[in-house]
Amino acid sequence: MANISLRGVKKVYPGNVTAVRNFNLEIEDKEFIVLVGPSGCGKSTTLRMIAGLEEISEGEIYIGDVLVNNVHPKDRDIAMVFQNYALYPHMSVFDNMAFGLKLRKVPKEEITKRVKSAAEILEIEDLLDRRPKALSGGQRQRVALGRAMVREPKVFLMDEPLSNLDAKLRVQMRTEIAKLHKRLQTTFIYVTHDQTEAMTMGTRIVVMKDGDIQQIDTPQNVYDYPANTFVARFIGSPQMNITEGLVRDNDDRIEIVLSEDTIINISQEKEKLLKEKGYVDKKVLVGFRPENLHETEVDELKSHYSTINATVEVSELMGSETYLYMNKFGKQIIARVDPKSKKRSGDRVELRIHWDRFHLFDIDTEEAIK
Amino acid sequence: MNIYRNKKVAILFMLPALVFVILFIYYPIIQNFIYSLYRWSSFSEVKVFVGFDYYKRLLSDPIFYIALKNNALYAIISIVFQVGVGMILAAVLEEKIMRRYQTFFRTVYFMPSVISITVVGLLFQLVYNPNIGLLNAFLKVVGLETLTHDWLGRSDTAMFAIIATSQWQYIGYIMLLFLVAIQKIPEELYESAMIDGANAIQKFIHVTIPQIKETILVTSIITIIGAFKVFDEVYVMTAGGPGRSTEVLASYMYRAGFRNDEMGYAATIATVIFLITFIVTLIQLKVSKEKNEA
Repeated sequence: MANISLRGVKKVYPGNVTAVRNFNLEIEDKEFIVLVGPSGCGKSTTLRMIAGLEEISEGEIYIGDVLVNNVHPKDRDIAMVFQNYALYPHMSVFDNMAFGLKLRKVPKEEITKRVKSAAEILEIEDLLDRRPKALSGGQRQRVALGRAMVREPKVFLMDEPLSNLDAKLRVQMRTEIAKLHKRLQTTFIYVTHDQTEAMTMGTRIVVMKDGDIQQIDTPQNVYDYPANTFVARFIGSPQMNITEGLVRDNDDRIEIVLSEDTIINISQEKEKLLKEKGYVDKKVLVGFRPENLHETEVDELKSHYSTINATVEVSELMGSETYLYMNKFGKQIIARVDPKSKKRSGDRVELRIHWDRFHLFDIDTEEAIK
Repeated sequence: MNIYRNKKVAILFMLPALVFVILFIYYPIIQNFIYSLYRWSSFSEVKVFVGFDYYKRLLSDPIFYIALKNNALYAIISIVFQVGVGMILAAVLEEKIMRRYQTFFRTVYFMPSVISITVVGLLFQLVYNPNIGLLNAFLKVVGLETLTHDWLGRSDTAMFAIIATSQWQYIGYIMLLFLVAIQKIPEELYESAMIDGANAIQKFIHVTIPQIKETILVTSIITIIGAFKVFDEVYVMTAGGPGRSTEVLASYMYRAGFRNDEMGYAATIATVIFLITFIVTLIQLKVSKEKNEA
């Protein structure tokens, strides 16, 4: 158990390719940190630097209070779970799990005890004699988790551990890993490109892009208060609608003109903010999530709501909800509405959105206005 | 008719290959065995049936045992150096810090194996030459003058000198086979082992070796079979001498057939060479079959 501290960490690969730029993060003991971002954002590289599999070009990494920049992976007291499991094919499940302990000269009875108890937690007791080849993907991932567990490390590192599993198994393992974290009471650092995994598992999320941290916060805050348009689009599915709007002062009320027929109001706090920051008569980016758009024929919402009128191009019935795709403000707008909606392609639709639900971003920096 | 089970068509497709295999492999093997039962000369049409006499003679022929011992020596040393050291060389070249220089070393080590054996033989005759040879000159320069030697001219070192040449020539080739095998091992296995606490040697033992077992087996078999068929190196460098000290089965067969004109005896030796390599191959097939089933 340990807190981890990354200070000004940088990774430059030969050929002057910068994978990670100035990464600063303080991870508390027992936290479940998720590094999330698209391919090539540097999340895996960061994890591998913590593991000691990649050299740190600049900056410092502390595990506990120990500077580990030049500490060998085996002495960092970490365990890692790989995307493709990395089980030793010639060893049985038991030997796979015991290997690290054997190398560390842990007494035999202790090894057996720990492997048995980990196998019990992961429900793989019956598989201990099998070779990895004879296991399914889900079982292999459990063995990989078990191999990490028996080491009783200070930190668990997981590099996209669920990416090779099918959709159903992924959901199941997701909850199991979250449960495991509660049970083991250890620091977890988890890398994924899947925003759902990030939202559901992490106590805090680190959103990365092109080697830079975009935002570090709890899942709820990242969702509710995205720091910039990238985070806003990356977290949430379907992704947030973002369009340009002109801020206008209309008799002491601040409005935003999205198009000739769509003028929205925003909460008073945000009105104040726009005034103070001098955004009046300037363009801003306005974001709103598909799930916050409500269809008036289903939900009758009046006060504190703005209206957007559009024509449905495609409607997708998902069962629990319906996605409406519309062309508005010169781009595609998605609304996630109640499944009771009868709107089909070609229908006019009136959508309402609560003033609080608008996200405002600076048009140049794309940073949230706050 | 089921197109997947049409035996006639299948046989038709196999026929050309089958004809060649029978004509150029099975038939000569059988014919050679029949020849070994006769006393005959390449200069006469007379063949006298002697049954297994030549086999009895071979078993009591001291030269046969010298040859057999030399072949065995060849095989053992080749396994140790070509397979053993070749594998270690490959593992070293695959180490992270060595990868940058790998292409250079790969080329350097591989180059000897593309040179003709005859050329290599002549080259090493010069290297081993007691008066103008590189080896003795080198020993003198480093102050090991007492070790200078007529390497090919003395029966105690001639065989080892030939075997050493062969190691120099083929170690790069075997190393290359191991490099290919090692490169196929997923990198995560090493990373996982590293985090599990394995040092370089433990990674080699616990990850590399189990993953390249098949290559170890195949290269060992190639090396053993090669060692029992060896002819050119010996023939070029010493032709079996001094005395009979570097005689190997193949050179002895050649001597029996084309020097002494005892074709039946040569055929007998050929049959023995075939039997040895055949048994080794059977072992390989059995081991790799067991491995696949496990």
